[in-house]
Amino acid sequence: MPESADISVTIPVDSRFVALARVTAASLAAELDFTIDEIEELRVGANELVSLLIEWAEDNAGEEIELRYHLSADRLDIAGEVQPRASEVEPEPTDPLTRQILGAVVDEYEIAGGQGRIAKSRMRR
Amino acid sequence: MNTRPAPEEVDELFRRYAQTRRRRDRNSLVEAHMGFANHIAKRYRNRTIAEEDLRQVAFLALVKAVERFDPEAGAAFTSFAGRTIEGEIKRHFRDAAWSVRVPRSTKELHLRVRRTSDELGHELSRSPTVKEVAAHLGVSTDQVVEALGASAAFTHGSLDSAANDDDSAAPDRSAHVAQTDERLESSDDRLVIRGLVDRLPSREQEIVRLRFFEELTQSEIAERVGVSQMHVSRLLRRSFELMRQASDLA
Repeated sequence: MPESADISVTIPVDSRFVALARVTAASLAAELDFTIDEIEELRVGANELVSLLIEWAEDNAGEEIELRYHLSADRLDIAGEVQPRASEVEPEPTDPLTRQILGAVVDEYEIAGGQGRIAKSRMRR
Repeated sequence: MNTRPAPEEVDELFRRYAQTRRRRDRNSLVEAHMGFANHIAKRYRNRTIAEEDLRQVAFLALVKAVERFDPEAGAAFTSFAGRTIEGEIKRHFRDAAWSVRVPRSTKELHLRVRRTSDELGHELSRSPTVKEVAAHLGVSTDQVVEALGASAAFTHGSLDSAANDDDSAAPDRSAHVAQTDERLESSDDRLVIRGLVDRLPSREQEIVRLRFFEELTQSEIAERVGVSQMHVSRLLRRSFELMRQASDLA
């Protein structure tokens, strides 16, 4: 396994494909030797990120969601962006519930408008 | 705060959520049951686990319960969610709680090893090896290693002391933490515990100190250290396990 790797996945604006984003996240996290609990939390985080982007895309004429997974030694970053990028739209504030969920399950998150990212590191062993 | 929807509205929301998986419906369902989750969390409140941490555990369990609930299965959501939330809280207690007991002789040897190590360190201008300390004390290297791992007790409360624990489902006995006569307040114990904490990786050291010496909640630590609250919970659990393993040598 190389030191780092990048994987891109593009999904349609349809909540049925959130599962694909979750499975991809879980599979990559398993490659990084995350624990079962860490993977479970990452799945919740990925679910939140991608569901938010899909909702945003639905409201703002987005056509697809581009997801980029970046693996490094003990960390997985997931960045997502609604395509085509809408430059004129004001980003909606993230709701408190989402912030509470993401704050509990991932180490870093940032979501604004049609873009967002989450990051989670595995526990060093 | 949203007004709590009527039961038939909740049923309808669950049916819709099962079909659409829309996050907004999920949020409405979670919000409608937050009071319920907090109510369960309160039952497990005690002085040793921060209420904020308990609420956080209950909240995440509620989110998971809403995600997993099958409205067609026939069970009421509150009974399904109640079991999920209680299960996660009990697991949290079990993971967060630990207690160890160290024989007096091992504790004494631990202190002698520490003292000798300091003295030899001054003499040698470096940290002494286990063999050097063992030779100096006239004990075996195994005994030195054992003494290095010695610990007094970190007692972290027990489910039995949870406030208002009138729950008909009995507390998980395996989560029970034996009270010991060893107290953190004792200066010897503090010394031994500090010795054990010093053996942890640096980030775990910081987290254990913030939790037990500065008494921050897991959420506060998460914010300060820059990792998730659940990650803090796991790092604490792992630290306890490492310390427990070390003390089991005694």
